Amino acid sequence: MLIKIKKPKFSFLKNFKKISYNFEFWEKINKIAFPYLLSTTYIMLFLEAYTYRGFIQKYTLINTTFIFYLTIISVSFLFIRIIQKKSNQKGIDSITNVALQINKLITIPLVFIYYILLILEDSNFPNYVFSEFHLALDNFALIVTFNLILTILILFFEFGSTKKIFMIYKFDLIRYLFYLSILFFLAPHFQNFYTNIYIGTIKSISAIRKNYDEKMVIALGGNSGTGWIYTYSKFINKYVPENGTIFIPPQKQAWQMEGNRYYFRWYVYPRKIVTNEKEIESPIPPEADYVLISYGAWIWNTTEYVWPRIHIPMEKIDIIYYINRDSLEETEVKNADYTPNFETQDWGIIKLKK
Amino acid sequence: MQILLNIFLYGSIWLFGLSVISLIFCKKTKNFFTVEKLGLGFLFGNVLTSYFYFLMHSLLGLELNKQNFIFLISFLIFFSMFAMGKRFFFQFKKTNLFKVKNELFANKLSKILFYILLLAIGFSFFNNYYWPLTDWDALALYDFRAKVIASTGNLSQGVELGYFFHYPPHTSLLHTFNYILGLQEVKIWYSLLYATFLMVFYSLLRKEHSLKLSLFGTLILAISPRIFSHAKIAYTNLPYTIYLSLGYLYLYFWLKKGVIQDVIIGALLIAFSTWIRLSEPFWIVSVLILFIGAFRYKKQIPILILLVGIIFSMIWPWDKFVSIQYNKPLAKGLGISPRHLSKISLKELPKRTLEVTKYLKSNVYPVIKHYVPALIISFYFILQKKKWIKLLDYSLLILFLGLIYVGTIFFSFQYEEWREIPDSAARMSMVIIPFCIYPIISSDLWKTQKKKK
Repeated sequence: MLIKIKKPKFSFLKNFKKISYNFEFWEKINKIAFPYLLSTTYIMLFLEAYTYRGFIQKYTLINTTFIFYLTIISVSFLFIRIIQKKSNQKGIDSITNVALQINKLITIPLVFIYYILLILEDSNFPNYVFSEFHLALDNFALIVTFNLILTILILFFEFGSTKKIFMIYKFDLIRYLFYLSILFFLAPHFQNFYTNIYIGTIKSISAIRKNYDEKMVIALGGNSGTGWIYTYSKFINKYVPENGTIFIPPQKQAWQMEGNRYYFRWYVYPRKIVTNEKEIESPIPPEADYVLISYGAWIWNTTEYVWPRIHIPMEKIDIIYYINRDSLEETEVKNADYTPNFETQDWGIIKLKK
Repeated sequence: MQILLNIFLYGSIWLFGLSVISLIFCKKTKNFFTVEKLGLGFLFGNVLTSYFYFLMHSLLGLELNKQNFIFLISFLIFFSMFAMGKRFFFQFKKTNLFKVKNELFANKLSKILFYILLLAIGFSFFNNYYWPLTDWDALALYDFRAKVIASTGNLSQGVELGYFFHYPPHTSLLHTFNYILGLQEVKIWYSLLYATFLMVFYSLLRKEHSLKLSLFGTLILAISPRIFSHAKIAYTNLPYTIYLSLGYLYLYFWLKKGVIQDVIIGALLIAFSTWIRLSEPFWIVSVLILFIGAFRYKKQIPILILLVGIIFSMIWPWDKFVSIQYNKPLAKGLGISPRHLSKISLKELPKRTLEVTKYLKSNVYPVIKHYVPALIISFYFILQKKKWIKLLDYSLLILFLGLIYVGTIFFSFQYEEWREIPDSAARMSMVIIPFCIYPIISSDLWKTQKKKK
C-alpha cells in the first residue's frame, strides 16, 4: 500500500511572499508611516548638521542615509499608487498632506539660508559657519538636497502631464527604482552645479574692476589668508634681482607655501631657491644671497611660526627689508642683527653681504 | 587686440584640427555629426599643434618662441588644407547646422536641457576668462614650465630646476602659446576642452539614442561634480579623461560596428592621451583591443598595425627627450616591466589586497558612488530580460575598475608612499565617469511601452 507523504507546508514563507507582493498591505503601512518617517529624517539631518555626520548611527545604530533614501522611496510609492488608482489628491490623508505642503513651503527659505551661509563661509574663512553657528555646511547641504528631491517629486505629482504619462505608459517597479536612482544623483549634482555658479558669480561681481594682481590675491584666499603669498612674493621680487638666490624655510608647519620650493618658484622665477628641507633651524647655505623672513602663510593645522629661527649677526647682513602685512608699509633696517621675534608677525627679506 | 589674438590662437588651432578631421572623414560617412567633427577638430588640433611644436624643438633644435609658433601653425594649416583640397569645404558645406538647431528647438525638454548645457559651458568660459590661474599643481609644474619656456624658449633649465619632466608637456605648451602671444587667460583651454568633450560625448550617445536622451546623458556628464570642477582648473586630469574615455568609447563603437573611422579616431585619441599623462598606463589595453578587433575585422589589419605604431610613436619622443636630459630613463608613475612586476611579494599580496580595497573604497568609490544604484538596477534589468548583448555596455566600466584595482596593487609594491596622495587617486578615477554614464543612458529601462487599451 502506497502511503502518500504530503510535503510539509512552509506556511510562514508562503505568507511572507503573499505579504511581500501585496501592494495594498504595503500601501497601508506606507500611508501610516510616511509622516513619521519624513519628520524623523528632518530631525536626524538637522541633528547631524548641528553635530557631525554619523552622530546618530554612533548612538542609535540607525544610518541617516538609509532613512533618507527610505523616505524618498516611501513618498514615491505613495504618489505612484495614487496615480495608478486614478484617484485625486484626496487619496493622501490630511497629516501627510500637511507634511508635504510644509516641505514645499520651506524649500525657498531653506535654499536661501543655505546660500547666505555659503557666502558667509566664502567671504570669511573656512569653517566660519561651523565656528559661528555650529552648523556643518556639508551636512546642512544634505537637508537642502533632501528637501529639493521631495519638492521635485511633489511638483511632478501635482503636474497634470505626469498623471497622463503614467496612464499612457506601462511602468513597473524596476522602472520606478531606476528613475529614483537617477534622481538620487541628479539632485545633489544639480545642487552642486548651481551652488558653484551662484558662488562663482557673487565672487566675480565682488571682484569687478580689479586688476590681475588683485584678482590673484582674492583667488588665492585674500591678503588675510593664503592670498598673502602673492603680495609677499611681489615684495620679494621688488628687492631681489633676477639672478639672486633666496634661502627659503623648509616645507613644514606654517611654511607650506613659501617653503615648498616647487610651488614657490612660480612666484619668484627666474630667481633661484635654496632650502634645507629637513631642519627648521639650519644655517644659511653659502650660495644664498637673500634670506626670507616669514611668519608663515599657511593657516591650517600649524603650531609653529616665525622663520628664520637663527640669529644672523649684522656683519653678515647688508640690509633688511620689512613689509607690514596689514598696512603693506615697507621699511629698511641697516646695521642691525636679525633675531627671531616670536612676539610679532614679521615678514621681509634679508640681503646678505657677499 | 587681445580679443583678436585670442581668436587667432584658438581659431587657427581649431582650423588645423578640422582639416585633419576632414582627412579622416574624407570618405562619405553617414553616421557622423557636424557637432562631432567640430569637437574632434579642436581635440585633434590642440594636441597635434603642441606635439609638432615640441618635435620642432627637440628634433630640429628650433626655439619655442612666437615666430616659430606662427610659422608652425601657418605651415600646418596650409599643409593639411592642401592635402584636403576641395574636400575640406565640401565636408562642412554639406552638413547643415540649421537642421541641428531645428531639431533642438522643436521640443521643450530638449530646449531646456540644451540651455542648461550652455549655462555649464558658459560659466566655465566666464570663470576661466575672468579669474587667473591659482591651482596648486598647475603653479608647481604645468604653468611653471610654460613660464620657463616662454621666457627662455627651451626646456634646458629643467634638470637644474627639478620636478620639471615628470609629465608630458601638453598643457604647458598650450599655456606657452598664450604667454608668447601676450595672453594671460590660459584657463580658456580647459573650457574649450570641456565644451568639445561634451560635444563629442553627445554625438556618441546620439548615434544610438534619441535627442532628448543624448542631451540628458551629456547633461549628467557636464554637471558631474568632478568633471565640472575640473573644467575650471588647470590640471591635466580633465584633458586626460577626455582623450582616454572618448578614445575607448570610439574603440567600443568600432568593436560593435566595425566602422573604420571609429577605430582611427579612438586609437588616435588614446595615443594623444599619452601626450598628456604617462604615469597611468591605461593606454596599453587599447593595443589589446586592437589586437582582438583584428580577428573580427581582418580587412582592417594594415590600418590597425599603423595605429599601434602611432600609439607607440606618440610616447617615444618625450620619453627619449627626458632620458637624454637626465642621461637615464625617468621613472614613470607605474612601471609594468618584468623588473617592476618582480617586486610583488606573494606573501604580502592578500594583506595588501585588503589594504588597497579599503583605500579604493574611501578614495575612488566616492567618485562613482552616486551612479552605482542606477547601474545596479539597469544591470539587474539586463539579467532579467536576458539581453546579454547589453552587458557589453558595462565592459569599459568593468575593465577600468579592474585596471585601477590591479594597478593600485602593483603601484603599492613599487612605492612605499602609495597611500599618501588620496586625492590623486580620486582624480585618476575621473576617467570612469563617462563609462558609468554610458550604460545608464544605454539602458532599456528608458524605453517604456504603451499600455494596451
